[in-house]
Amino acid sequence: MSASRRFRLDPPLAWVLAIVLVKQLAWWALMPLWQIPDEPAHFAYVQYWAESGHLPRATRERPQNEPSEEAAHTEKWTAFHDVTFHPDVRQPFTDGEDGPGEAELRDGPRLGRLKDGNSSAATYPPLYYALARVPYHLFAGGTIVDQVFAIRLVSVVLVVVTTWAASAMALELGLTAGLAACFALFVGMQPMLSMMGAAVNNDLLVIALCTVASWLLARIGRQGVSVRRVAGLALVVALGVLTKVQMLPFAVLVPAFLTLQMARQRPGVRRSAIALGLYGGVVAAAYLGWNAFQAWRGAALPPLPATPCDFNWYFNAVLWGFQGRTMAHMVNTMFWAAFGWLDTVFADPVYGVLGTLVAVGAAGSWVGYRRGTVPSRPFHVVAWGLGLGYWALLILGGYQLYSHGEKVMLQGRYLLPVWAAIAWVVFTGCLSWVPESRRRLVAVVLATLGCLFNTAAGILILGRFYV
Amino acid sequence: MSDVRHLLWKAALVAAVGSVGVWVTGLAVELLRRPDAVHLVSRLGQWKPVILKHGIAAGLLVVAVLVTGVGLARIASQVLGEPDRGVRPGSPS
Repeated sequence: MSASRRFRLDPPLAWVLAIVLVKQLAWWALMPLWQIPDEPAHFAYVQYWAESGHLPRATRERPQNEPSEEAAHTEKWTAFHDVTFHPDVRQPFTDGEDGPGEAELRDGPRLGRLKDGNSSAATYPPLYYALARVPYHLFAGGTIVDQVFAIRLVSVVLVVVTTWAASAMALELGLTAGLAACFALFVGMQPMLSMMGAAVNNDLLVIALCTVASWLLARIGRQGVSVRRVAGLALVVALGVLTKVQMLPFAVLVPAFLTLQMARQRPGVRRSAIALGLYGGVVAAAYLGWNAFQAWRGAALPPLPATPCDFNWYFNAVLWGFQGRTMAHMVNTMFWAAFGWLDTVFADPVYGVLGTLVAVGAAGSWVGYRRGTVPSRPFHVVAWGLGLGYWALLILGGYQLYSHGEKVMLQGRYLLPVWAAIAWVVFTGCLSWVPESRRRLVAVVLATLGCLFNTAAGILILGRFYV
Repeated sequence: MSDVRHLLWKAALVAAVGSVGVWVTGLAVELLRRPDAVHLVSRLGQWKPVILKHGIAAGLLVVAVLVTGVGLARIASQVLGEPDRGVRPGSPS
Protein backbone atom coordinates (compact mmCIF):
# COMPACT_ATOMS: atom_id res chain seq x y z
CA MET A 1 0.00 0.00 0.00
CA SER A 2 1.46 3.33 -0.98
CA ALA A 3 1.89 6.13 1.50
CA SER A 4 -0.54 8.33 -0.42
CA ARG A 5 -3.29 5.73 -0.16
CA ARG A 6 -2.62 5.08 3.51
CA PHE A 7 -2.88 8.72 4.51
CA ARG A 8 -5.57 9.77 2.05
CA LEU A 9 -8.77 10.79 3.74
CA ASP A 10 -11.35 8.82 1.78
CA PRO A 11 -14.89 10.24 2.02
CA PRO A 12 -16.23 7.46 4.29
CA LEU A 13 -13.25 7.78 6.63
CA ALA A 14 -13.68 11.55 6.73
CA TRP A 15 -17.28 11.02 7.85
CA VAL A 16 -16.19 8.50 10.46
CA LEU A 17 -13.64 10.90 11.93
CA ALA A 18 -16.22 13.71 11.91
CA ILE A 19 -18.78 11.53 13.71
CA VAL A 20 -16.24 10.38 16.32
CA LEU A 21 -14.96 13.93 16.83
CA VAL A 22 -18.35 15.50 17.50
CA LYS A 23 -19.41 12.52 19.59
CA GLN A 24 -16.29 12.87 21.70
CA LEU A 25 -16.75 16.61 22.04
CA ALA A 26 -20.26 15.99 23.36
CA TRP A 27 -18.90 13.57 25.97
CA TRP A 28 -16.11 16.04 26.75
CA ALA A 29 -18.55 18.82 27.48
CA LEU A 30 -21.14 16.76 29.32
CA MET A 31 -19.06 14.56 31.61
CA PRO A 32 -18.86 16.46 34.91
CA LEU A 33 -15.64 17.22 36.71
CA TRP A 34 -13.78 14.31 38.36
CA GLN A 35 -16.41 11.74 37.38
CA ILE A 36 -14.12 9.52 35.31
CA PRO A 37 -11.75 7.04 36.99
CA ASP A 38 -8.68 8.65 38.58
CA GLU A 39 -9.13 12.03 36.93
CA PRO A 40 -8.18 13.97 40.10
CA ALA A 41 -4.95 11.96 40.46
CA HIS A 42 -3.89 12.50 36.83
CA PHE A 43 -4.74 16.18 37.01
CA ALA A 44 -2.72 16.43 40.24
CA TYR A 45 0.32 15.05 38.36
CA VAL A 46 -0.04 17.66 35.61
CA GLN A 47 -0.65 20.48 38.04
CA TYR A 48 2.25 19.60 40.32
CA TRP A 49 4.68 19.27 37.42
CA ALA A 50 3.47 22.45 35.74
CA GLU A 51 3.48 24.54 38.89
CA SER A 52 6.64 23.24 40.59
CA GLY A 53 8.75 22.34 37.56
CA HIS A 54 9.48 18.92 39.09
CA LEU A 55 8.03 15.52 38.32
CA PRO A 56 6.13 14.03 41.25
CA ARG A 57 8.11 11.34 43.01
CA ALA A 58 6.72 7.89 43.66
CA THR A 59 7.01 6.49 47.17
CA ARG A 60 6.89 2.96 48.56
CA GLU A 61 3.72 3.72 50.44
CA ARG A 62 0.64 3.58 48.32
CA PRO A 63 -0.25 7.25 47.99
CA GLN A 64 -3.78 8.40 48.42
CA ASN A 65 -5.20 10.84 45.92
CA GLU A 66 -3.66 14.08 47.07
CA PRO A 67 -4.94 16.78 44.80
CA SER A 68 -3.79 20.32 45.25
CA GLU A 69 -5.51 22.52 47.78
CA GLU A 70 -7.31 24.23 44.91
CA ALA A 71 -8.59 20.91 43.54
CA ALA A 72 -9.71 19.85 47.02
CA HIS A 73 -11.63 23.12 47.37
CA THR A 74 -13.17 22.50 43.97
CA GLU A 75 -14.53 19.17 45.11
CA LYS A 76 -16.06 20.85 48.13
CA TRP A 77 -17.45 23.88 46.35
CA THR A 78 -19.03 21.96 43.52
CA ALA A 79 -20.15 19.05 45.72
CA PHE A 80 -19.16 16.72 42.88
CA HIS A 81 -17.20 14.56 45.27
CA ASP A 82 -20.46 13.68 46.99
CA VAL A 83 -21.57 11.87 43.85
CA THR A 84 -18.51 9.70 43.27
CA PHE A 85 -18.88 6.31 44.92
CA HIS A 86 -22.43 7.19 45.98
CA PRO A 87 -24.93 6.13 43.33
CA ASP A 88 -27.80 7.27 45.55
CA VAL A 89 -26.60 10.90 45.52
CA ARG A 90 -27.76 13.05 42.64
CA GLN A 91 -25.75 15.65 40.79
CA PRO A 92 -26.04 19.02 42.53
CA PHE A 93 -27.50 21.89 40.54
CA THR A 94 -28.70 25.35 41.36
CA ASP A 95 -31.64 27.28 40.06
CA GLY A 96 -29.67 30.49 39.49
CA GLU A 97 -27.36 31.79 36.82
CA ASP A 98 -24.22 30.49 38.49
CA GLY A 99 -23.48 26.91 39.35
CA PRO A 100 -22.65 25.85 42.90
CA GLY A 101 -19.39 27.37 43.99
CA GLU A 102 -18.78 29.22 40.74
CA ALA A 103 -17.91 32.48 42.46
CA GLU A 104 -15.52 30.72 44.84
CA LEU A 105 -13.92 28.91 41.93
CA ARG A 106 -13.40 32.17 40.08
CA ASP A 107 -11.85 33.90 43.08
CA GLY A 108 -10.11 30.87 44.58
CA PRO A 109 -6.50 31.01 45.78
CA ARG A 110 -4.02 30.33 42.99
CA LEU A 111 -1.38 29.61 45.66
CA GLY A 112 -3.39 26.51 46.48
CA ARG A 113 -2.30 24.98 43.17
CA LEU A 114 0.92 23.63 44.65
CA LYS A 115 0.93 20.95 47.28
CA ASP A 116 2.95 17.77 47.54
CA GLY A 117 1.95 16.17 44.24
CA ASN A 118 1.93 12.73 45.78
CA SER A 119 -0.99 11.46 43.77
CA SER A 120 -1.64 7.83 43.01
CA ALA A 121 -0.51 8.62 39.45
CA ALA A 122 2.97 9.63 40.64
CA THR A 123 4.46 6.29 39.58
CA TYR A 124 3.67 6.83 35.90
CA PRO A 125 6.18 7.97 33.27
CA PRO A 126 5.79 11.53 32.03
CA LEU A 127 4.94 11.38 28.32
CA TYR A 128 1.18 11.98 28.53
CA TYR A 129 1.62 14.62 31.19
CA ALA A 130 4.09 16.47 29.00
CA LEU A 131 1.33 16.72 26.37
CA ALA A 132 -1.21 17.72 29.01
CA ARG A 133 0.97 20.55 30.26
CA VAL A 134 0.46 22.44 26.99
CA PRO A 135 -3.29 23.10 27.48
CA TYR A 136 -2.69 23.51 31.22
CA HIS A 137 -0.37 26.44 30.57
CA LEU A 138 -2.52 27.82 27.77
CA PHE A 139 -5.44 28.10 30.22
CA ALA A 140 -3.33 29.11 33.22
CA GLY A 141 -5.33 32.31 33.53
CA GLY A 142 -8.62 30.45 33.85
CA THR A 143 -10.17 28.52 36.70
CA ILE A 144 -9.23 24.97 37.51
CA VAL A 145 -12.36 23.83 35.65
CA ASP A 146 -11.17 25.58 32.51
CA GLN A 147 -7.82 23.81 32.83
CA VAL A 148 -9.32 20.36 33.37
CA PHE A 149 -11.58 20.72 30.36
CA ALA A 150 -8.69 22.05 28.25
CA ILE A 151 -6.57 19.00 29.12
CA ARG A 152 -9.49 16.73 28.33
CA LEU A 153 -9.25 17.97 24.73
CA VAL A 154 -5.98 16.01 24.42
CA SER A 155 -8.00 12.86 25.08
CA VAL A 156 -10.57 13.86 22.47
CA VAL A 157 -7.81 14.12 19.87
CA LEU A 158 -6.37 10.77 20.96
CA VAL A 159 -9.73 9.04 20.43
CA VAL A 160 -9.80 10.40 16.88
CA VAL A 161 -6.22 9.16 16.36
CA THR A 162 -7.27 5.74 17.67
CA THR A 163 -10.15 5.65 15.20
CA TRP A 164 -7.91 6.66 12.32
CA ALA A 165 -5.35 3.98 13.26
CA ALA A 166 -8.11 1.36 13.36
CA SER A 167 -9.12 2.37 9.84
CA ALA A 168 -5.50 2.18 8.66
CA MET A 169 -5.24 -1.28 10.20
CA ALA A 170 -8.37 -2.47 8.39
CA LEU A 171 -7.16 -1.05 5.07
CA GLU A 172 -3.82 -2.75 5.60
CA LEU A 173 -5.62 -6.03 6.22
CA GLY A 174 -7.42 -5.78 2.92
CA LEU A 175 -10.85 -4.29 3.61
CA THR A 176 -12.24 -1.82 1.12
CA ALA A 177 -12.46 1.85 2.11
CA GLY A 178 -16.16 1.49 2.94
CA LEU A 179 -15.80 -1.58 5.12
CA ALA A 180 -12.72 -0.13 6.81
CA ALA A 181 -14.79 2.95 7.63
CA CYS A 182 -17.52 0.79 9.17
CA PHE A 183 -14.89 -1.01 11.22
CA ALA A 184 -13.32 2.26 12.38
CA LEU A 185 -16.74 3.56 13.42
CA PHE A 186 -17.36 0.35 15.37
CA VAL A 187 -14.05 0.96 17.18
CA GLY A 188 -14.41 4.70 17.71
CA MET A 189 -17.98 4.58 19.05
CA GLN A 190 -17.22 2.03 21.76
CA PRO A 191 -19.01 3.45 24.80
CA MET A 192 -16.25 2.85 27.31
CA LEU A 193 -13.78 4.53 24.95
CA SER A 194 -16.20 7.45 24.73
CA MET A 195 -16.32 7.76 28.50
CA MET A 196 -12.58 7.47 29.03
CA GLY A 197 -11.96 9.74 26.04
CA ALA A 198 -13.51 12.57 28.01
CA ALA A 199 -11.01 12.21 30.86
CA VAL A 200 -7.72 13.60 32.02
CA ASN A 201 -6.07 10.18 32.01
CA ASN A 202 -2.93 8.71 30.45
CA ASP A 203 -4.93 5.64 29.39
CA LEU A 204 -5.86 7.46 26.21
CA LEU A 205 -2.29 7.82 24.99
CA VAL A 206 -1.66 4.12 25.66
CA ILE A 207 -4.85 3.23 23.77
CA ALA A 208 -3.88 5.37 20.78
CA LEU A 209 -0.31 4.05 20.71
CA CYS A 210 -1.43 0.43 21.02
CA THR A 211 -3.87 0.90 18.15
CA VAL A 212 -1.14 2.46 16.01
CA ALA A 213 1.15 -0.45 16.98
CA SER A 214 -1.61 -2.92 15.99
CA TRP A 215 -1.75 -1.25 12.58
CA LEU A 216 2.04 -1.53 12.28
CA LEU A 217 1.84 -5.21 13.24
CA ALA A 218 -0.74 -5.69 10.49
CA ARG A 219 1.56 -3.88 8.06
CA ILE A 220 4.48 -6.12 8.96
CA GLY A 221 2.24 -9.14 8.53
CA ARG A 222 1.15 -8.00 5.08
CA GLN A 223 4.31 -6.40 3.72
CA GLY A 224 6.96 -8.44 5.49
CA VAL A 225 9.50 -7.90 8.24
CA SER A 226 11.96 -5.11 7.53
CA VAL A 227 14.29 -3.17 9.78
CA ARG A 228 12.49 0.08 9.02
CA ARG A 229 9.05 -1.30 9.85
CA VAL A 230 10.25 -2.94 13.04
CA ALA A 231 12.03 0.27 14.05
CA GLY A 232 8.76 2.19 13.63
CA LEU A 233 6.90 -0.38 15.68
CA ALA A 234 9.57 -0.32 18.39
CA LEU A 235 9.42 3.46 18.58
CA VAL A 236 5.64 3.45 19.06
CA VAL A 237 5.81 0.76 21.73
CA ALA A 238 8.65 2.60 23.48
CA LEU A 239 6.55 5.75 23.58
CA GLY A 240 3.81 3.65 25.20
CA VAL A 241 6.28 2.33 27.78
CA LEU A 242 7.08 5.96 28.59
CA THR A 243 3.36 6.58 29.11
CA LYS A 244 1.97 3.89 31.39
CA VAL A 245 2.89 0.55 32.87
CA GLN A 246 -0.13 -1.02 31.13
CA MET A 247 1.89 -0.87 27.92
CA LEU A 248 4.26 -3.56 29.19
CA PRO A 249 1.97 -6.55 28.46
CA PHE A 250 1.57 -5.28 24.90
CA ALA A 251 5.33 -4.75 24.59
CA VAL A 252 5.94 -8.32 25.76
CA LEU A 253 3.48 -9.81 23.26
CA VAL A 254 4.89 -8.07 20.19
CA PRO A 255 8.10 -10.18 19.87
CA ALA A 256 5.96 -13.33 19.87
CA PHE A 257 4.02 -12.06 16.85
CA LEU A 258 7.18 -10.84 15.13
CA THR A 259 8.62 -14.32 15.58
CA LEU A 260 5.41 -15.79 14.21
CA GLN A 261 5.64 -13.56 11.15
CA MET A 262 9.28 -14.42 10.60
CA ALA A 263 8.50 -18.12 10.84
CA ARG A 264 6.00 -17.62 8.01
CA GLN A 265 8.02 -15.24 5.89
CA ARG A 266 11.54 -16.62 6.52
CA PRO A 267 13.42 -13.35 6.07
CA GLY A 268 16.71 -15.01 7.07
CA VAL A 269 18.42 -15.54 10.41
CA ARG A 270 20.47 -12.34 10.25
CA ARG A 271 17.55 -10.08 9.43
CA SER A 272 15.37 -11.80 12.04
CA ALA A 273 18.01 -11.32 14.71
CA ILE A 274 18.45 -7.67 13.78
CA ALA A 275 14.69 -7.08 13.87
CA LEU A 276 14.19 -8.71 17.25
CA GLY A 277 17.33 -7.12 18.66
CA LEU A 278 16.28 -3.70 17.42
CA TYR A 279 12.83 -4.04 18.94
CA GLY A 280 14.12 -5.36 22.25
CA GLY A 281 16.85 -2.74 22.43
CA VAL A 282 14.60 0.25 21.81
CA VAL A 283 11.83 -0.89 24.16
CA ALA A 284 14.25 -1.99 26.88
CA ALA A 285 16.12 1.31 26.60
CA ALA A 286 12.87 3.20 27.20
CA TYR A 287 11.88 1.07 30.19
CA LEU A 288 15.30 0.84 31.80
CA GLY A 289 16.08 4.47 31.05
CA TRP A 290 12.96 5.65 32.82
CA ASN A 291 13.58 3.45 35.83
CA ALA A 292 17.27 4.46 35.99
CA PHE A 293 16.11 8.07 36.03
CA GLN A 294 13.67 7.25 38.81
CA ALA A 295 16.42 5.56 40.83
CA TRP A 296 18.76 8.50 40.30
CA ARG A 297 16.20 10.93 41.70
CA GLY A 298 15.36 8.69 44.65
CA ALA A 299 11.88 7.63 43.52
CA ALA A 300 10.54 4.19 44.34
CA LEU A 301 10.96 1.49 41.71
CA PRO A 302 8.68 -1.43 40.76
CA PRO A 303 7.28 -3.59 42.13
CA LEU A 304 5.06 -1.04 43.78
CA PRO A 305 2.05 -1.81 45.92
CA ALA A 306 -1.28 -1.64 44.11
CA THR A 307 -4.65 -0.58 45.40
CA PRO A 308 -5.94 -3.58 47.32
CA CYS A 309 -9.46 -4.42 46.30
CA ASP A 310 -11.87 -7.16 47.00
CA PHE A 311 -13.50 -8.27 43.77
CA ASN A 312 -13.76 -4.65 42.84
CA TRP A 313 -13.37 -5.15 39.10
CA TYR A 314 -17.00 -6.09 38.91
CA PHE A 315 -18.63 -3.50 41.13
CA ASN A 316 -16.46 -0.61 40.20
CA ALA A 317 -18.97 0.65 37.66
CA VAL A 318 -21.57 1.03 40.35
CA LEU A 319 -19.15 2.65 42.72
CA TRP A 320 -18.23 5.22 40.15
CA GLY A 321 -21.82 6.25 39.97
CA PHE A 322 -22.82 4.64 36.71
CA GLN A 323 -26.22 3.10 36.46
CA GLY A 324 -25.98 -0.57 36.87
CA ARG A 325 -22.88 -2.44 35.87
CA THR A 326 -23.04 -1.13 32.38
CA MET A 327 -20.59 0.56 30.13
CA ALA A 328 -17.39 0.59 32.08
CA HIS A 329 -17.08 -3.17 31.93
CA MET A 330 -18.82 -4.33 28.82
CA VAL A 331 -15.68 -5.64 27.20
CA ASN A 332 -15.30 -7.93 30.17
CA THR A 333 -18.19 -9.92 28.82
CA MET A 334 -15.92 -11.74 26.44
CA PHE A 335 -13.73 -12.95 29.26
CA TRP A 336 -16.19 -13.40 32.06
CA ALA A 337 -18.79 -15.18 29.97
CA ALA A 338 -18.61 -18.27 32.13
CA PHE A 339 -20.16 -16.62 35.11
CA GLY A 340 -21.25 -13.16 34.10
CA TRP A 341 -22.79 -13.27 30.67
CA LEU A 342 -26.26 -14.67 31.16
CA ASP A 343 -26.72 -12.55 34.24
CA THR A 344 -25.78 -9.34 32.49
CA VAL A 345 -27.84 -10.06 29.38
CA PHE A 346 -30.95 -9.81 31.52
CA ALA A 347 -29.63 -7.20 33.92
CA ASP A 348 -28.71 -4.68 31.27
CA PRO A 349 -29.89 -4.90 27.66
CA VAL A 350 -27.12 -2.76 26.20
CA TYR A 351 -24.41 -4.70 27.99
CA GLY A 352 -26.13 -7.88 26.97
CA VAL A 353 -26.50 -6.98 23.29
CA LEU A 354 -22.86 -6.00 22.93
CA GLY A 355 -21.79 -9.03 24.93
CA THR A 356 -23.83 -11.25 22.63
CA LEU A 357 -22.29 -9.53 19.63
CA VAL A 358 -18.81 -10.20 21.01
CA ALA A 359 -19.69 -13.86 21.50
CA VAL A 360 -21.19 -14.19 17.99
CA GLY A 361 -18.19 -12.44 16.44
CA ALA A 362 -15.67 -14.52 18.35
CA ALA A 363 -17.40 -17.72 17.26
CA GLY A 364 -17.54 -16.43 13.67
CA SER A 365 -13.84 -15.64 13.76
CA TRP A 366 -13.06 -19.16 14.93
CA VAL A 367 -15.31 -20.89 12.42
CA GLY A 368 -14.38 -18.48 9.61
CA TYR A 369 -10.70 -19.04 10.24
CA ARG A 370 -11.10 -22.77 9.88
CA ARG A 371 -13.19 -22.39 6.73
CA GLY A 372 -10.93 -19.68 5.32
CA THR A 373 -13.76 -17.15 5.01
CA VAL A 374 -12.37 -14.43 7.29
CA PRO A 375 -10.19 -11.75 5.70
CA SER A 376 -6.47 -11.89 6.47
CA ARG A 377 -6.43 -15.16 8.41
CA PRO A 378 -2.96 -14.68 9.95
CA PHE A 379 -4.03 -11.49 11.67
CA HIS A 380 -6.86 -13.35 13.42
CA VAL A 381 -4.19 -15.30 15.27
CA VAL A 382 -2.51 -12.02 16.21
CA ALA A 383 -5.79 -10.40 17.23
CA TRP A 384 -6.85 -13.33 19.41
CA GLY A 385 -3.38 -13.41 20.91
CA LEU A 386 -3.41 -9.70 21.65
CA GLY A 387 -6.87 -9.81 23.24
CA LEU A 388 -6.40 -12.87 25.41
CA GLY A 389 -2.66 -12.49 25.98
CA TYR A 390 -2.94 -8.87 27.05
CA TRP A 391 -5.63 -9.63 29.57
CA ALA A 392 -3.76 -12.65 30.94
CA LEU A 393 -0.49 -10.75 31.28
CA LEU A 394 -2.28 -7.82 32.85
CA ILE A 395 -3.72 -10.04 35.54
CA LEU A 396 -0.42 -11.85 36.01
CA GLY A 397 1.65 -8.66 36.05
CA GLY A 398 -0.76 -6.78 38.27
CA TYR A 399 -0.96 -9.69 40.64
CA GLN A 400 2.71 -10.58 40.84
CA LEU A 401 4.52 -7.31 40.28
CA TYR A 402 2.27 -4.71 41.72
CA SER A 403 0.13 -6.28 44.39
CA HIS A 404 2.43 -8.62 46.30
CA GLY A 405 -0.29 -11.22 46.16
CA GLU A 406 -3.17 -8.98 47.15
CA LYS A 407 -6.21 -8.72 44.99
CA VAL A 408 -5.89 -5.91 42.51
CA MET A 409 -8.42 -3.68 40.89
CA LEU A 410 -8.95 -4.85 37.33
CA GLN A 411 -11.32 -2.77 35.30
CA GLY A 412 -12.72 -3.34 31.85
CA ARG A 413 -11.18 -0.12 30.64
CA TYR A 414 -7.78 -1.74 30.92
CA LEU A 415 -8.68 -3.74 27.80
CA LEU A 416 -9.15 -0.67 25.63
CA PRO A 417 -5.52 -0.73 24.39
CA VAL A 418 -6.35 -3.97 22.55
CA TRP A 419 -9.92 -2.97 21.69
CA ALA A 420 -9.03 -2.57 17.99
CA ALA A 421 -7.75 -6.17 17.91
CA ILE A 422 -10.83 -7.45 19.78
CA ALA A 423 -13.06 -5.41 17.48
CA TRP A 424 -11.34 -6.94 14.45
CA VAL A 425 -12.22 -10.42 15.71
CA VAL A 426 -15.81 -9.39 16.44
CA PHE A 427 -16.39 -7.36 13.28
CA THR A 428 -14.91 -9.73 10.74
CA GLY A 429 -16.20 -12.71 12.70
CA CYS A 430 -19.77 -11.41 12.36
CA LEU A 431 -19.21 -10.83 8.63
CA SER A 432 -18.02 -14.38 8.16
CA TRP A 433 -21.40 -15.79 9.23
CA VAL A 434 -23.17 -14.37 6.14
CA PRO A 435 -22.70 -14.89 2.39
CA GLU A 436 -20.29 -12.51 0.71
CA SER A 437 -23.10 -10.66 -1.00
CA ARG A 438 -24.51 -9.64 2.40
CA ARG A 439 -21.29 -8.65 4.14
CA ARG A 440 -21.46 -4.98 3.25
CA LEU A 441 -24.96 -4.76 4.66
CA VAL A 442 -23.86 -6.47 7.89
CA ALA A 443 -20.91 -4.05 8.13
CA VAL A 444 -23.29 -1.10 7.93
CA VAL A 445 -25.52 -2.69 10.59
CA LEU A 446 -22.51 -3.20 12.89
CA ALA A 447 -21.43 0.42 12.43
CA THR A 448 -24.97 1.59 13.17
CA LEU A 449 -25.12 -0.62 16.25
CA GLY A 450 -21.86 0.95 17.42
CA CYS A 451 -23.49 4.38 17.19
CA LEU A 452 -26.58 3.19 19.03
CA PHE A 453 -24.48 1.62 21.81
CA ASN A 454 -22.77 4.95 22.23
CA THR A 455 -26.09 6.79 22.41
CA ALA A 456 -27.42 4.31 24.94
CA ALA A 457 -24.26 4.72 27.01
CA GLY A 458 -24.74 8.46 26.91
CA ILE A 459 -28.24 8.07 28.29
CA LEU A 460 -27.21 5.65 31.02
CA ILE A 461 -24.01 7.33 32.14
CA LEU A 462 -24.65 11.00 31.52
CA GLY A 463 -28.24 10.64 32.62
CA ARG A 464 -26.81 9.68 35.98
CA PHE A 465 -25.60 13.25 36.37
CA TYR A 466 -28.11 15.36 34.54
CA VAL A 467 -31.52 13.75 34.93
CA MET B 1 -32.63 14.33 -7.81
CA SER B 2 -31.04 11.02 -8.63
CA ASP B 3 -32.27 7.83 -7.03
CA VAL B 4 -29.04 7.42 -5.05
CA ARG B 5 -29.24 10.91 -3.62
CA HIS B 6 -32.91 10.44 -2.82
CA LEU B 7 -32.11 7.20 -1.03
CA LEU B 8 -29.24 8.90 0.76
CA TRP B 9 -31.34 11.65 2.24
CA LYS B 10 -34.10 9.25 3.15
CA ALA B 11 -31.57 7.11 5.00
CA ALA B 12 -30.10 10.20 6.70
CA LEU B 13 -33.55 11.23 7.84
CA VAL B 14 -34.33 7.78 9.18
CA ALA B 15 -30.96 7.59 10.99
CA ALA B 16 -31.32 11.05 12.49
CA VAL B 17 -34.90 10.45 13.61
CA GLY B 18 -33.87 7.05 14.93
CA SER B 19 -31.00 8.50 16.97
CA VAL B 20 -33.19 11.23 18.40
CA GLY B 21 -35.87 8.63 19.06
CA VAL B 22 -33.50 6.45 21.04
CA TRP B 23 -32.33 9.45 23.04
CA VAL B 24 -35.82 10.73 23.75
CA THR B 25 -37.06 7.27 24.66
CA GLY B 26 -34.19 6.88 27.10
CA LEU B 27 -34.95 10.22 28.63
CA ALA B 28 -38.62 9.37 28.92
CA VAL B 29 -37.77 6.15 30.71
CA GLU B 30 -35.49 8.03 33.08
CA LEU B 31 -38.13 10.66 33.76
CA LEU B 32 -40.75 8.00 34.43
CA ARG B 33 -38.40 6.35 36.88
CA ARG B 34 -37.86 9.64 38.69
CA PRO B 35 -40.98 11.75 38.68
CA ASP B 36 -39.21 14.59 40.45
CA ALA B 37 -36.55 14.94 37.75
CA VAL B 38 -36.65 17.78 35.30
CA HIS B 39 -35.78 17.62 31.66
CA LEU B 40 -32.15 17.16 30.67
CA VAL B 41 -31.95 20.29 28.57
CA SER B 42 -33.09 22.52 31.39
CA ARG B 43 -30.33 21.02 33.52
CA LEU B 44 -27.70 21.66 30.88
CA GLY B 45 -27.91 25.39 31.28
CA GLN B 46 -27.46 25.38 35.01
CA TRP B 47 -24.09 24.14 36.07
CA LYS B 48 -22.25 26.54 33.87
CA PRO B 49 -18.57 25.90 34.58
CA VAL B 50 -18.91 22.25 33.79
CA ILE B 51 -20.68 22.67 30.49
CA LEU B 52 -18.36 25.51 29.51
CA LYS B 53 -21.19 28.02 29.63
CA HIS B 54 -23.24 29.45 26.79
CA GLY B 55 -25.06 26.22 26.06
CA ILE B 56 -22.18 24.71 24.11
CA ALA B 57 -22.98 21.25 25.38
CA ALA B 58 -26.59 21.33 24.24
CA GLY B 59 -25.48 22.53 20.83
CA LEU B 60 -22.88 19.81 20.62
CA LEU B 61 -25.51 17.19 21.34
CA VAL B 62 -27.63 18.39 18.44
CA VAL B 63 -24.61 18.57 16.13
CA ALA B 64 -23.46 15.11 17.22
CA VAL B 65 -26.86 13.58 16.45
CA LEU B 66 -27.08 15.31 13.06
CA VAL B 67 -23.51 14.49 12.01
CA THR B 68 -23.97 10.88 13.13
CA GLY B 69 -27.20 10.52 11.19
CA VAL B 70 -25.98 12.12 7.99
CA GLY B 71 -22.54 10.52 8.24
CA LEU B 72 -23.97 7.07 8.74
CA ALA B 73 -26.19 7.52 5.71
CA ARG B 74 -23.25 8.66 3.59
CA ILE B 75 -21.11 5.76 4.77
CA ALA B 76 -23.94 3.31 4.14
CA SER B 77 -24.41 4.72 0.66
CA GLN B 78 -20.69 4.35 -0.06
CA VAL B 79 -20.40 0.83 1.34
CA LEU B 80 -23.53 -0.54 -0.31
CA GLY B 81 -22.46 1.03 -3.59
CA GLU B 82 -19.03 -0.55 -3.61
CA PRO B 83 -18.60 -2.77 -6.64
CA ASP B 84 -16.59 -5.57 -5.03
CA ARG B 85 -17.46 -7.81 -2.16
CA GLY B 86 -15.76 -5.97 0.67
CA VAL B 87 -12.23 -7.25 0.39
CA ARG B 88 -9.88 -5.65 -2.10
CA PRO B 89 -8.64 -7.80 -4.97
CA GLY B 90 -5.35 -9.46 -4.18
CA SER B 91 -5.88 -9.34 -0.43
CA PRO B 92 -4.67 -12.31 1.58
CA SER B 93 -7.40 -14.68 2.63
